[in-house]
Amino acid sequence: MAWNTNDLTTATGAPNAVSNPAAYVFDAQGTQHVVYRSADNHIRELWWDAAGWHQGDLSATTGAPAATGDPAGYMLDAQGTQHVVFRGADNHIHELWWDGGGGWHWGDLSAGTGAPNSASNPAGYMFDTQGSQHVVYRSADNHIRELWWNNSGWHHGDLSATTGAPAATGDPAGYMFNAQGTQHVVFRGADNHIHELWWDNAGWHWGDLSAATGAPAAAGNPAGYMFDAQPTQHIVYRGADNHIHELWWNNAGWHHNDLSAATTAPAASGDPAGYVFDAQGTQHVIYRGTDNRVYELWWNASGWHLVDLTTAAGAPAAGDPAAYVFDAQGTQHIFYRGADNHVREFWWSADVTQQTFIRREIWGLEGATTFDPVTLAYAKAIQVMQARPATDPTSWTYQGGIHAAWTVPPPGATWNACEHQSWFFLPWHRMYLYYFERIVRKEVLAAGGPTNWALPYWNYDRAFPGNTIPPAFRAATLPDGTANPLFLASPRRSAALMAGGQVPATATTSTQAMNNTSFSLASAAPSFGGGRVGPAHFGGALGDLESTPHNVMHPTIGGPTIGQCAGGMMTDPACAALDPIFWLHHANIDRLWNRWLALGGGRANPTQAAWLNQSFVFRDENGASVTLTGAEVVNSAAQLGYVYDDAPTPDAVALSAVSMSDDTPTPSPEPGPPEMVTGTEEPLVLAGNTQSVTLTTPPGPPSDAVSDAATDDNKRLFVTVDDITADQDPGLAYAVYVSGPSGERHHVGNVSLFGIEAMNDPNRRHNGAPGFQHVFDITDAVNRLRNAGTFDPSQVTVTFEPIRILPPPGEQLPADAQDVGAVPPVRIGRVALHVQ
Amino acid sequence: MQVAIGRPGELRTALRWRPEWPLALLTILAWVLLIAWALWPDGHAGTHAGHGMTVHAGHSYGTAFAAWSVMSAAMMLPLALPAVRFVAFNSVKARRNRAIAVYVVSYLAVWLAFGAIALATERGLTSAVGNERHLVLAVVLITASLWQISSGKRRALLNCHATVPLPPFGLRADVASARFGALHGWRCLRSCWALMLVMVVMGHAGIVALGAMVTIALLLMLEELGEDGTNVLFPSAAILSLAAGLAASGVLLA
Repeated sequence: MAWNTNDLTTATGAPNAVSNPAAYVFDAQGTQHVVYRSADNHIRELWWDAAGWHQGDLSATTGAPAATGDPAGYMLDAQGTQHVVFRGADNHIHELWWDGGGGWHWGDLSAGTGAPNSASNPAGYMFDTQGSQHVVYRSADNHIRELWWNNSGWHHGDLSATTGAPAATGDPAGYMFNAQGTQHVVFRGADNHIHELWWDNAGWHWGDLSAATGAPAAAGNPAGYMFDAQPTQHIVYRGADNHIHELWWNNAGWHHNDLSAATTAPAASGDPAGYVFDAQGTQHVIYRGTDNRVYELWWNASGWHLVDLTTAAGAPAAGDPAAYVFDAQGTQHIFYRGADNHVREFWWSADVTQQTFIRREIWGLEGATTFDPVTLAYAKAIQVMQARPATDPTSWTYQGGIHAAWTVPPPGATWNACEHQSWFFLPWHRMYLYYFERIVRKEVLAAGGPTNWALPYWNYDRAFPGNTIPPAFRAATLPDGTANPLFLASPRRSAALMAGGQVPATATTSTQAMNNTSFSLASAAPSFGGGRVGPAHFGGALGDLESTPHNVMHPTIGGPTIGQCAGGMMTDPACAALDPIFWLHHANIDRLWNRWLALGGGRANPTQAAWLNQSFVFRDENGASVTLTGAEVVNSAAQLGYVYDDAPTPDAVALSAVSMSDDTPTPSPEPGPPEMVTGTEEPLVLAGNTQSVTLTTPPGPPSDAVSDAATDDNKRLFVTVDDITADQDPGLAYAVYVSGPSGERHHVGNVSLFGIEAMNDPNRRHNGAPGFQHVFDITDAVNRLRNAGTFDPSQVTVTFEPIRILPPPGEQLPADAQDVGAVPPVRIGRVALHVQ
Repeated sequence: MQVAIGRPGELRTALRWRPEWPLALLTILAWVLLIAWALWPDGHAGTHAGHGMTVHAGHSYGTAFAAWSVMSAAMMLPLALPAVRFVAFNSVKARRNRAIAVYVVSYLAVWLAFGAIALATERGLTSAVGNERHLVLAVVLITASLWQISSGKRRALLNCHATVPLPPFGLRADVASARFGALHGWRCLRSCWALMLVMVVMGHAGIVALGAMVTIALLLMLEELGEDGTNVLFPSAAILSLAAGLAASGVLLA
């Protein structure tokens, strides 16, 4: 559903409502207005302009007397004024009106015209044909009275006397019918019939619509509206059977329709409201159910439909809804008083991009069914994208190529653009996902999928089964029998993962990244988002979040590479974006960026112009070339219109992991470069086995420097893993642990070869040399070792252990899907210890 | 890296982050010498442009080689600055200066060896070719231009950035520094041999030669030190082809 909710009372700080709200649009100013009575019997206004919602106290502003019942409001095009009418505690009909020059004014219409007191709520409407405005109400003698205004001022009329209409009960309603140039007032008679008083050039007339159509007895107040395009007019009311009934008129006369029966809608309570949405050619009737939910019955060329608006996260209702269409924005709006006495709004936009999208966790979506609507829509959209040629910017191939590709780009295409190992990693991928999501959403909407579709994310850092690949990515076919594009069989993805294996926590954890409070540092010290180098395919300045879990998940999901995209697609940057799981992985990384910012404690995006103003080029859902800068993507909700379904509250786990001692101080401006104290003498080759090296520091000043750094809160210790080279990505990552001569080892990070193909390729755009360097901040780990009494400054052991996919709890993976055995070798030139 | 220098302590800190600064000073010194030598080749002002370093132009082999050594230092040391940073940050403090010195000597040795061989070859070639030296220059320039756009050049350029892991202590550390210097020199030689051949033919004396030195030095720095050095390859090839044309018509060499 494309309905959004809003709590106007909270948004504006307005006082609670004790009446039903009334709502209208004021075209002359391009504003929207909602009026209601507050507990102090003042008429309050909530009004909207380009700056958002505001509140006002109209009674205080104008000195109007105490109100009772429900107010009504309307605009008068002919004069460019807006009007709010209400029944005062003195039973007079009062008017609050606004004009451009003088603001709000008050008038006592009953006193002004000598009209009798009111026994009902008033209703008001403008009558274009005459340029007049009209307010109708029921007087104590159960007559329908009219207060009407034209150029010579306000006048009073007794419509019941004029037409001989029977006694009225409840509140009347009124509307104009431009197609016929007539105006209409409808009311419920004491006989529970719906009666109509209508005016044409010959004056006022009366008709008993219930008798004319054989419609059932009414139990509430009617509402009416015109549907010019048809042209028809419509009156809706709640019957004694708690159904919503419709009396509608066309050239053939009046007809009756039981809308609740037609749509099997739930029982109604209170009075319905109705309106027409010209731009869409639809009409809408809304009411509160006996269950206090707000329901919508809407009509289009294929007939009447039922929608339960309250499922879109609205609060329960306590009164009757009011509604209007805001043509200027192409939106429709429904207002009601909630059970908490807040004025609440449902609003719907024809332009789905106006809503805030929620990216949801895939396991939460898939819960009971493998193909929930969001995931299924994703798969179907991918089928469409995959059928497009590579030259089409909205094709699967083209979008994947923007990241990197082995194939030659189409002429003029900006492919091979992905930013890695620099502070541009996070903004670039945010932009990449943003446009991809728009492209997919366009296909989702075209296929009739969820109008609030957003890219799901996979939070793999959870217990089984959250750390296994979601079911929709393991199913070979979709429910309709077609091949499932989300399914990639081994060797294109890891066999163990496709057999349901678990990704271990060493790969999925984001603790290290979250603990780092600096987004980027000028030095090579580890930072959250990556070092400050210029835009590059692989910049050589790897940030913590990019390292783990991002760089680890890629080869872990992909497995070993084979040729060009024949195997291990997620492992190879030039194939990774062609695996549909890529996007869910990166949505998770993007979500972690938001969570990091929400942790506070000094965490913030870079403020340097070099980061904020750097622009990158993409293609939108129409294939048009678009550009975004870092400054335009720092707030995903406000600037890009999406949030994640987890509220970004400080993660208790991350905070407690900050340090064993009090707060780990954020690295203050670096005093000097890190000093190497020792390192290994010989290279190390990893081939899928666990290996350890011991960094021995000679006694004397070097060893003292290490123990000094371990005890000094202002100093930090680093392990660097240098000159990492490989001919190909091994299809897995290595977890790095630090330990003393005995006792527990502590995980300090991971070594992944993600991107090695690009680093080895002289034709690819990247900074720096073949191979990688990883820097691990081991200060926290050393603190833990010290606290356990197992730290020896002269002997630090570094262990490399391959991260393997584990079988599901209590099970074995099939023999041909076990993540064991030798993998292509990785050569580590040196492991060294540094102090800063 | 921008560091505001206010107090002596801050200057020291800034220099610690830039351990290659002594080498940079050395390079500037080399350029000063080079410019002086170019403008006053025999101790007097002269405009003997492009007489080359050949014996028959009045310069002994020894003088030519000495000039070549200074030129190598001036043009090649800037390319080694990142490597010197690497050596500095990857050596323990006690060994740092030694490691850098060993590296630099080893690196320059490669260029000196190249120079020695190239000069001797050019000497032999010149006696055979005589007055057609400008054609030799044209050929060398065309070769350099073609090499710039070849895939061999791209591969060499990438490898030029490769580092060698440095063990922390002892003889192994020295050997590794020396090995790094030699390997780095060799890899860079494989990348820029063609451009340096141009300098062999052009010599060190005169304004034109100086202009060539500066141009080639800048080009090499853009290639090796710039963020995406491969951007320079095609434009530089165009410039070299143009120069080849000028050389063939006798403009560049008298």
